[in-house]
Amino acid sequence: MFSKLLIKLIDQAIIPAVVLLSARIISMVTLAMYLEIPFELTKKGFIFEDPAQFTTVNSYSLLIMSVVLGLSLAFFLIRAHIFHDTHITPKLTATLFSVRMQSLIQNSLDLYTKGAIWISYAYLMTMLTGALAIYAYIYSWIFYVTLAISVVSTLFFIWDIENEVRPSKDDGYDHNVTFLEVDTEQI
Amino acid sequence: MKALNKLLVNMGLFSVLSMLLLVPIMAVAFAGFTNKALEQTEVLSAQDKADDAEEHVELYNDVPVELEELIRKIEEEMYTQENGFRPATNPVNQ
Repeated sequence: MFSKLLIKLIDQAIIPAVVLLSARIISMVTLAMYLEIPFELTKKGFIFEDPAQFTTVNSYSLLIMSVVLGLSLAFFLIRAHIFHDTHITPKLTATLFSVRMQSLIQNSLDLYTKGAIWISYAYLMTMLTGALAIYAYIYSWIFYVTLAISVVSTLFFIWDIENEVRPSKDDGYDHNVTFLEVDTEQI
Repeated sequence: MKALNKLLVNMGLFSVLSMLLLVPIMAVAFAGFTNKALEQTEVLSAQDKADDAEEHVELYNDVPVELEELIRKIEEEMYTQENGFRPATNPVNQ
């Protein structure tokens, strides 16, 4: 009855949501304290008295969120390219098992659900920073940084999918099909 | 019936997933600024304008302009009583 894929996606979306939410709250408080900008925490969230100070804190807070998003995507892409069980090298597999870090090896379902979630967050962040940049609530270069992170990570993700889908020349199968041309009358 | 149940359950799961995806976006929108500083600036600039306006008040014998008409009427009345006729021009300006 339950879609396994949706349950897997929900399972994979919890940690990124918590990570990004924590990054936002911690960065807002830390930046406001570091820059000595007064703010109030009300029902409407963080309220600043000066629009210019709000723009500064909001911009750097979103930059920190984008950096956290970029680092998480980089970690995921490294796992996808190096530790993917379909194209991990035997030597690396043996090394990982010898140091008991075999949990780094991921199957395609785990990797692609994680990838879908992280890239969804990246594009949602891109749309959000774009909207905020249009209304001058953040510096416009934050939007370009987020867009670059999203596009580059998407390209690397597509590259990994191509590695998965593209058949290898030496895939271990016998491609000799001459036996199919056997004359059936001789049998 | 079974298909409808499956559809509803999966719609519920999808809405949970959407909510999870929107959590960081909501967190970003959970900040703003008040117009206190703007309002204070507007009040101060209005006060400055009022002060400027007061500085440029034309005085009529060291009396504010608002009283000019009243004083003029009283002086005209006094002139009429003394001379028996109304002045042709403003006696103050003579």
